Amino acid sequence: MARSKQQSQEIRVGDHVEFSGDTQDYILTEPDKVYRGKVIGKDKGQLLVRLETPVTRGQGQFHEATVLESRVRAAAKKK
Amino acid sequence: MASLIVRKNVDNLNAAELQALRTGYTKAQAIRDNRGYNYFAGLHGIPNWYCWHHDRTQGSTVNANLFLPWHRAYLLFFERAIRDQSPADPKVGLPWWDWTSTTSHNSGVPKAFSAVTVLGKANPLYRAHISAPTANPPINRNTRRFPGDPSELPTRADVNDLLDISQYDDFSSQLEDIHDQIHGWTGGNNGQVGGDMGFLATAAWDPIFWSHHCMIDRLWYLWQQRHGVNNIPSSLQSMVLNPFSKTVRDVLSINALGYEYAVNLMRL
Repeated sequence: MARSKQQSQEIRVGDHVEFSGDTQDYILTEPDKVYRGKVIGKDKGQLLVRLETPVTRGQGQFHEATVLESRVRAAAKKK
Repeated sequence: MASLIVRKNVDNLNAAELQALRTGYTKAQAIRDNRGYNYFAGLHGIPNWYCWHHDRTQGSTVNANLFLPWHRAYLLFFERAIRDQSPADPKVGLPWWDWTSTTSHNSGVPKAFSAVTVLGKANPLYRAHISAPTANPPINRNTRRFPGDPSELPTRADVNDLLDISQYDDFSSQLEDIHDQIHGWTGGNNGQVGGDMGFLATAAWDPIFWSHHCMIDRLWYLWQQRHGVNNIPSSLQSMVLNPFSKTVRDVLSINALGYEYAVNLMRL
């Protein structure tokens, strides 16, 4: 079966990515929301993403979050 | 009747109790079958994904607020596995990490978990080895932790406000938000990779995970003392907490499960 273009894309450090939230997450919990950010680190299926918009959990604000690489897609760079 | 296991604040464990706990963790971390640390850690996220968060678990379309009961069952079975590897005396239960304490607000992660070595040996509460060969991609490394600024931890007042909430769903939801915050704070990142506590897939491998959840379970217990042990929607009570042989109803009373929480001198 042919793999989709999205699945075959390799995400690199510096790429801009977007992904939906997931209730099975600690920080990016809203499944109806699309989170966007820049990949600043990568390690075996995990991406460290600097979020365009910080996310609040409890009374804490988070500027970065770890995301499974399989959850993200490349996003157009902001001009 | 067997006496209850007493769970204490980790900062209140004496040297012998802390050593017994470390012995249990060290031995469990060396076991590769279903008695071992790696097995229990792998039930939460990668590779088995049984955990319930924000009304959901993977592998089921049911939405139910099982965050608190599922983690209570999880801690119970983990505690038994650790105790099986610990000396009989002193008898030690899982300790809780009070992230609202003055000590935590000054120093962050308790010394019991932050010391890299103890008496010249690796501290099993500092980190553990993740072995998840069936994950995609496979994971085979030690846990990482990059905690944040201690002043950002929740306060005692935050928790007291929470305990005043009388409705279970509201209480559970708001407690889970604070729980999420602690996960993110404890995991943190070093600018290149994130810490495991902030990443649900591998969080349960970090040894501090269990004491963070012990604090969450204790807060639920304190809430139950105020608002009723059986104060949970009846629609949830027969639900099974997979993969454990327990229903929600089975885990409502901690004394029936064989443990209790020590009274904190700085009682909430």
